[in-house]
Amino acid sequence: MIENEDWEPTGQNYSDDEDRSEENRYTNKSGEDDDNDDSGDTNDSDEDQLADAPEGEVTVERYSERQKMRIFDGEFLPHIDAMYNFAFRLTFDEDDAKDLVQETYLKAFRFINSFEEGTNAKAWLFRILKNSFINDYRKKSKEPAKVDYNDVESYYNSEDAQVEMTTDLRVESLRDMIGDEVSNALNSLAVDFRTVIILCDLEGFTYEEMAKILDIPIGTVRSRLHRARNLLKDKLRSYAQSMGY
Amino acid sequence: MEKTDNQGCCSEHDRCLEILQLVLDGEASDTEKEYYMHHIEECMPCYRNYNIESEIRNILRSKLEKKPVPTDLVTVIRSKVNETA
Repeated sequence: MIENEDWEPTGQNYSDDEDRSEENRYTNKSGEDDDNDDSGDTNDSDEDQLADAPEGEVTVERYSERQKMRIFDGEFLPHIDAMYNFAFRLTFDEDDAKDLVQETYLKAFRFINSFEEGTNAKAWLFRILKNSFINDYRKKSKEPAKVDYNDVESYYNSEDAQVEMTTDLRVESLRDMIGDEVSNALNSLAVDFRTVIILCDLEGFTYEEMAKILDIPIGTVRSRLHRARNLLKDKLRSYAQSMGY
Repeated sequence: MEKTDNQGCCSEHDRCLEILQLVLDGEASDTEKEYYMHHIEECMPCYRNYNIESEIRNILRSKLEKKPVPTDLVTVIRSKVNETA
């Protein structure tokens, strides 16, 4: 979980055991990965994260080659559209998005034994993609690595902000917005905020699924989502104002 | 609709904002949902909030352009997987 601290700018970690045990549902069958000879992969931490099962458990080859292909084709590939769009909204670059999706699928295949057939493949894949993004892309992105959460938090928790927040943005002005404006508003958010909006509003994940994908407690999902929406609303409001509403 | 100030109209504004998120995200309990839907019938600021927040979700879903997946991506992935399989 070392890299997780990197990812979580608030420094928050699991606040209770419930979250921790919940989280294991996606990874409970994996142990030491049996594929360490893949020298092309430099991302040990990511693999640790994927295979963070209790120590001592050894990965069982639970699927035959044929079963693996069936799962890969039947449960993983159907999500490629959502995966690619998620990757693009994280990286803002078509080639990077492509690489990220490809890398995610190769990892998913490599760790397929830790996937339980019939469980939530989409959430599992999104989790791998998110981790790959943090490891590989976020480091080299120009985006500021940290948001000052304290600033944001205190601002949005203040009474004034709440009141201001709820006035003067009108449904009609939202309806008149064009895709580019909505897209720019979303893209202007820091990656952590953008991510929760994508997962919740575009992909329809539940809070519980989001908690697993992001490795954060549900309470953090809720508060981050709340802040993200307020920031988004701010952006939309300024577009509305520039449109003369 | 001419009144825009919402202070004092709703004594539980913060709580309402919180429940609103849960309702729209499909995460509210039945009790919370019932409370909220009843509440907005008599609280204009909350009713307006409800409409704005739902519309934001609507435009996110309907107006954001979906990127088509590059045509060769699945082929490339599949062939790489076959190499390792």
